[in-house]
Amino acid sequence: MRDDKKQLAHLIKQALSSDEAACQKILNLYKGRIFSYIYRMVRNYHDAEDLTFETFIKCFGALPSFDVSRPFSTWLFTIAHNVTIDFFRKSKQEYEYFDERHAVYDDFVEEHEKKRKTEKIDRALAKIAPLDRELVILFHREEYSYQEISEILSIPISTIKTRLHRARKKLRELVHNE
Amino acid sequence: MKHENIEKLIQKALDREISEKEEQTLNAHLAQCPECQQFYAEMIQTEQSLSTLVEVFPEYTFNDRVLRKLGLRQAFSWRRVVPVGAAAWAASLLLLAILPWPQALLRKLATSTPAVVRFFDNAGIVVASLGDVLGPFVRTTFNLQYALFGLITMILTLFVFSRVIKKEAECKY
Repeated sequence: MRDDKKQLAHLIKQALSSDEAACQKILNLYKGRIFSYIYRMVRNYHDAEDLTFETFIKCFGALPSFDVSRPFSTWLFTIAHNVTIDFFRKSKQEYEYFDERHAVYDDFVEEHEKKRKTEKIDRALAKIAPLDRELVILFHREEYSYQEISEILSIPISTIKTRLHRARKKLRELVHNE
Repeated sequence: MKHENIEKLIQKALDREISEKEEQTLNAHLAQCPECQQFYAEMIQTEQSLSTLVEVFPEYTFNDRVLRKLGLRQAFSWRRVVPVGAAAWAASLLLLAILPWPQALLRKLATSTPAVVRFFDNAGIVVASLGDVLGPFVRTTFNLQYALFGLITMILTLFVFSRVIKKEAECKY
């Protein structure tokens, strides 16, 4: 889950000199994690693919200004978060609160179900506020610390803790009372 | 201890921020409170299912899309591939026609066994009759050896095509 710093530094150096194979390796290393995160946030396969595409284009574009002393994945997730937030803003969707209207027209569960047996937890995640969902994914799935999540989302650790605790409790309810 | 305080300790445990002393307090309470015990078990179960959330992937053409946008890869185009194939075919035919040693080698190969001779005789007839249609130049240049040349150049051309197509296919995953 964590970055292999030496391998990454080498890949980034190669990618900066427009090495196709290096860019491809970076894509293969991170596209699954970034796509899964965005997919669970926006709950639409095609939007998620477009936003993941935008994330990587921005990532490669900003690569010359990337500070190699920083963890690459945290930086990449920051870009993905900003791209996702922009999408929520443009499509006038609630980010901080759970909006029932989007739950009704939610194609995440439906599309996901077609491909593989949907886990209870995925259905529960779709029923909490996008911000809470984001915190849960970053903390439990991506195993980021509170400090790292605070850097990615630019929100205080105290807010993250309060919301995450509430989100966990809500998820427990949704999973066990389904 | 109040249930609310126990819930705080459970959250702390899930945050991996619980102290040894707090853990002892939590365990002591859980041992005597079935209600909190169930809550704790369900919270742990929820946490475990979160860590095993499946990874989802974009379409297999995703890398290709990104690399094209970055200008690192050209779009697959028959306009690009056909001239490459045709040039490879023409160049190999020309080389085989000019160089003396491949002709000698092919002649030797073609006459080494009766079956091969029969096959290329027939192929030669087909090529020669094609030559009747295509004109005197083709008729004089295409013969038994050139049927074999054709076979080799076809293999060479397929090789060139496969390199181009392989490059296209590499980006899919």
